[in-house]
Amino acid sequence: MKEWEAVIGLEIHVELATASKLFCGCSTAFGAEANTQVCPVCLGLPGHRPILNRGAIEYAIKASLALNCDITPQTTFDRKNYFYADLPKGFQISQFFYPTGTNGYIDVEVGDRVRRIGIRQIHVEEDTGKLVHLGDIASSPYSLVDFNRAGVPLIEIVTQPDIRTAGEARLFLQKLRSIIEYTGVSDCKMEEGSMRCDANISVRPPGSATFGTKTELKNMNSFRAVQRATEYEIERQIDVLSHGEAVIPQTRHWDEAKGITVAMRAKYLATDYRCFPDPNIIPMDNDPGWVESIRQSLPELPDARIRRMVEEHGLPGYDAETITSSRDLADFYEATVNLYNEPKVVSNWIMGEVSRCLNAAGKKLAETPLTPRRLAGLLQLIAKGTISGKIAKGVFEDMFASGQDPEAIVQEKGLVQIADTGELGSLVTNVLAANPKSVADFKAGKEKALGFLVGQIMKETRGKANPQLVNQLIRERIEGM
Amino acid sequence: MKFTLEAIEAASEAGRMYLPAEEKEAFWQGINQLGGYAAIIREVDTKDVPATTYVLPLLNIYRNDRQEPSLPREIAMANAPDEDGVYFKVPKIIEK
Amino acid sequence: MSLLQDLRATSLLKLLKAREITAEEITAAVLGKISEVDKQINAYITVTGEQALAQARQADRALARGGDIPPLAGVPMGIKDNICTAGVKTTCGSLMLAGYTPHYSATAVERLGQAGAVMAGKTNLDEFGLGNTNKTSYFGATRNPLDPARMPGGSSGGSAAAVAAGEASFALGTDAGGSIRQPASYCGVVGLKPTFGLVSGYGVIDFAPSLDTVGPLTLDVQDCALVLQAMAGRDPLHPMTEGAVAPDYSSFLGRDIRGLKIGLVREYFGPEIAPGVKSRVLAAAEKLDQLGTIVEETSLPHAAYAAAAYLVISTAEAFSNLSNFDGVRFGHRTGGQDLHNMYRRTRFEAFGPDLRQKLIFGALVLGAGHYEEYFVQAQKIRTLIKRELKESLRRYDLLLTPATPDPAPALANDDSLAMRNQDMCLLPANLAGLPAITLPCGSLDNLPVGLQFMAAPYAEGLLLQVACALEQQLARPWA
Repeated sequence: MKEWEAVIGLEIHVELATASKLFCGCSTAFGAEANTQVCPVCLGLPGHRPILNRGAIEYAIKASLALNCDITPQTTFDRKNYFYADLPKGFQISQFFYPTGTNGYIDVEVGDRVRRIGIRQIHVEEDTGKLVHLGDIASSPYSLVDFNRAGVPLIEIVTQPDIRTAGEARLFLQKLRSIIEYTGVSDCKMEEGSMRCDANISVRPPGSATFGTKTELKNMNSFRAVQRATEYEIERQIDVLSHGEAVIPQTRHWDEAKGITVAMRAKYLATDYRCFPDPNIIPMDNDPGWVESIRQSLPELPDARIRRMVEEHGLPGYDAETITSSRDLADFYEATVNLYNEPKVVSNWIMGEVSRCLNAAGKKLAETPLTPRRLAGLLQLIAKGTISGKIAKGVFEDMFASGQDPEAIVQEKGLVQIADTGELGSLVTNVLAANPKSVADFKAGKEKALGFLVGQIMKETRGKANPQLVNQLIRERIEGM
Repeated sequence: MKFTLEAIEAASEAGRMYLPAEEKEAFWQGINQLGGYAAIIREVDTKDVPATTYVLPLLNIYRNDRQEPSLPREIAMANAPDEDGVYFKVPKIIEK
Repeated sequence: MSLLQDLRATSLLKLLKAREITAEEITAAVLGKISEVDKQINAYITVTGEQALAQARQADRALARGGDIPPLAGVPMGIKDNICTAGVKTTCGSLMLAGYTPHYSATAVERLGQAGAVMAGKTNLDEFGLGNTNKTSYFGATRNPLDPARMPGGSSGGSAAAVAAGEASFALGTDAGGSIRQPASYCGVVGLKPTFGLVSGYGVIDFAPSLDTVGPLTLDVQDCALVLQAMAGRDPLHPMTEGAVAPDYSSFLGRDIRGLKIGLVREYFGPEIAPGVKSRVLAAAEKLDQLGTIVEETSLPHAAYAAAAYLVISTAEAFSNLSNFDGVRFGHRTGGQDLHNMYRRTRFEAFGPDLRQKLIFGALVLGAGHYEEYFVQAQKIRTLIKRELKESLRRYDLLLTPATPDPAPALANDDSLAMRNQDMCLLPANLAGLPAITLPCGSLDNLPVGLQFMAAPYAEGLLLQVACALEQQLARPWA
């Protein structure tokens, strides 16, 4: 019996892929030496003056449009005042009063239903620096601070409390990442911290109109972690309530190793951020013409693309969703189909060999020598009967590793399929003579025996024989006996 | 209306400024004198009056997204009270 | 060489061009004056003697080469110590920055350097500029050179005192709430607060970014035009200057002022203003009338709320704007066992009590429960005052008020409420971002009395034009 319903809202920080920071020209590149991408503005040196990066606002608008938000007519910024070692100015510049995007949504397929998850707002803010500790934060005698990330533009995406299960939370995040990735405004790497997710969680009796007391979950560094942590926290709250106790409103930390959430600090005791409009940041019009041109520049987003692949390419829904989950993969698919117009065949290869090799190598498509032209070339070799599907897998692996064209590999390695009935005929004679038991079995109606005999020929030819032809020759020969 | 000592202590804490016992009375008086002075603004009817944050009617002054040189690290750290040549150093962080 | 009697930039430039004196001699004379009087006056926090002499010699070489002479070649200046100067300590009058040396200079300083001016040193101020007495400086109070028992005013008190005492030809100040004009008035010099955004604030350690401007304190109006000219105009490093319009200010000087309409702001001639001050400002208005301007009474109904609105906005902005002084990347640090205590002890020890009270007040007016009734209300009153001024300046070319209700108070005066009222006539220009100039218009008990003109945005030329015409009618020490 289900006694409790979970209510989940997510807050997702996504680092924007601008070249420079939100209020200065310092680089945003990942992985530079500590404190080498800093200047008076992002260090908060006395006398500095911030200047707004229009590119960051353009990206924020682009993301907001992709997530079906209304765009606020003017960009303004506010100060959120607090002290922390990684915060250079004693305040974070953020859009507290007027977020760039409001009132959006994403449709998420959950099983065979579509759930519409509301997006309350999308606002732009600056990232903080990074703390480095000797050992863990509590035992370290001091902390080291690197301000390279300080001032890098972020958007924070805040959902409505529309999510009901940990699985939905994960599906939502995957869909969100896919959309953001399509727009090109961020690379959305959770591992590098360019996408981070916190969750607000409460439980209540199903159908209740009010919310239970919520906790805030932090430190979830992968989609899997979000799902596990959310699952754990829901169970924990149900357990607390089932024992007649109250959920304490607090921030909790996900401990990945132990698989539990741990209380960090009491929430609502704290913090009055004393937000007010930043007098240094001149407002900017998000004028309708500009917003419209950004809308025009949006690529086809995953939902539309899935629809087109199903309707126009005749792909199964599952294939279309899998391929579109990454923009790279979907672009690769489309380019390949343009050269070799067998969508389902291309889709099988992409979901099969291509994905397998990418995963094994831990690489992105762009980092491999694989091109749509090479894959299409390989598929044409199969279609023309030059090589068998089985040989093709080997050729693909060579191609993936060496970057050679498939035709060259086939030539070089002498992999051209044997389709000469004369040559194959004598091989068949030898094999049938050497395996009388299998011949008898086949005659007795055991179809399996045929497979064995074909296999022997394939072995003899190291896979180069045309299997259909061999099949046909053996059948004819035995039936003629 | 007067600002209570608790509110003053909380505000001092928000500004990360220790407020010693011997200053509390004087601060309470001084700050409430400021409060009394400021309080007259509350008698003005400002219904339908917009707030002024930016005194100039400036709009749309921004930079395009272009990377510019950063500071050499020695200069960035030249005035730091404590650093190790690579990082700024701060005393240990105790989560409150 | 005898000490120079007339340090006006225009006079010095004449002597330099005539080769009657060298820039090095001028600088040496000013440095001599500083070492003679500054122990008592305390106008300077840092004197950059050697650098000044080197700069002066450079100016002399340029003069010897001939060709175009920069507009302020060899003219010695003081820079308020909340304005960044590359390689020279910039303390803001606070223990917090007592050891702070910026790597870059403010745009205003850069431009004055390009104009040939020679920096004699960094002038004293109220701690971080939040004050109007110059008594809250960590480096000790400045005294009024006209009467050392009196205060010079603040927060640009060191700049005003340096100019009045002959320790500089001119000085830079900053003015968020009268901080140039009030000390200029107490010390009997000319003070200009330019239109918000006319002079770049890049490199200025301001406490209230929506109010603060850089401006000159000079010996006369003509110098004021020269110095403003050197600094004014757009600066890509400070976007607030984007709308800056800087015409040839000198061309306004000597122009006919007949027919100009001047509004006398009724609210600033009430009982708060000392009768002696009132009579001298009215006498100046009489002179303006004789010069052919049309002087009429006008009114700013919300003037009475300006000081309270200013207090709320300026302290709120300061609370936030001074949060970067946390002992992490620069500035003073008092060691603490942990980060939190380091912050609390650093900011307790390195900020003086007067500053801390104001920052706490700023935090309170931004706090939950007070934000609307104090901070937003103050911003709305700002709108009302801005509107009223705009309306008045549609009818009048300039507005006229006293500079301060009283001449310089005694150094020992600790009546903070009375001191607060000393800026009452000056604050509307900050709240509305308008340009305003103060100049001496007589004396009372041997202390200077000042008046103020306000004008529409970017109408500095008009301000200088009328101020110059009036100045010529008034007795000056060097006239």
